[in-house]
Amino acid sequence: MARDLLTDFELMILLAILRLGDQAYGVPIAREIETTGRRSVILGAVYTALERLERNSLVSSRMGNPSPERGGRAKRFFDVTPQGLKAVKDTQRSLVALWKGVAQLKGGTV
Amino acid sequence: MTAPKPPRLAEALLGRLALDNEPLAGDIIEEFRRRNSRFWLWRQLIAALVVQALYAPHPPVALNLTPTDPVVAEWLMWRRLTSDRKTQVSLTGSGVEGIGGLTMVILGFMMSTVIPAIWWFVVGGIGAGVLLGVLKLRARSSKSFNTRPLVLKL
Repeated sequence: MARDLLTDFELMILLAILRLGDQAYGVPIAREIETTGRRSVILGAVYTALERLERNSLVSSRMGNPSPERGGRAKRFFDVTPQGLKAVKDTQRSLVALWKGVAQLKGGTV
Repeated sequence: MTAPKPPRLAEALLGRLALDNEPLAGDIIEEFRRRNSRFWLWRQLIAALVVQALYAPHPPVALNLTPTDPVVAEWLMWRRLTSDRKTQVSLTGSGVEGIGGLTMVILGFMMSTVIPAIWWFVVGGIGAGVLLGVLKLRARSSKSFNTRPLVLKL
């Protein structure tokens, strides 16, 4: 049985795919997490997480055409499935619920 | 301006990575050409190979055959089946038990083709072995000199 909630890295990957739309493959996903999520990313780790998400039916993938700037290697595009979208919403709901009522987090910036 | 080219060893490793995960190898090349950083390339490549080796699903051993596997399989079978084997002398010029000299030549050729830089490790290994041997000989000779029984002539 798949887990109900996502890890922070899985959540970031799913959000990056949703932001990128139909141009979501390894490089832009990693770049999106690095720029928006402000964390350094290892491409191999992104693929490991993506494969795990695909096994749990949270993302689907399709192969693109090989291109010379990639050494003749094909791209693999990813899409978030309806189950993936539900997992993102469930995780958001849980996190927001945890956020609410924490006195230390109220007002101002840290 | 021409696009930066990965070092030959990195290219060979990317080729190996592409056998398991072609899109990942392509992504690393694409991003390397944009960043033009060898440090970034090696960091990504080594991490990808480690992650691939640790987490990627592998086929069952019986189906995971490569061209050199029959040699290894035969050697393992021979070791298992011949329980009363004795130490044998290799007449084929091979340093590895059960692998013929011709196989060693083929392996050497494949290594030279795919990863030429690996010969530096081989040469380094031989050099280190010779150095260790010389040091041991020296240590032995000085030890024998020190422990020579003292004969007192009265």
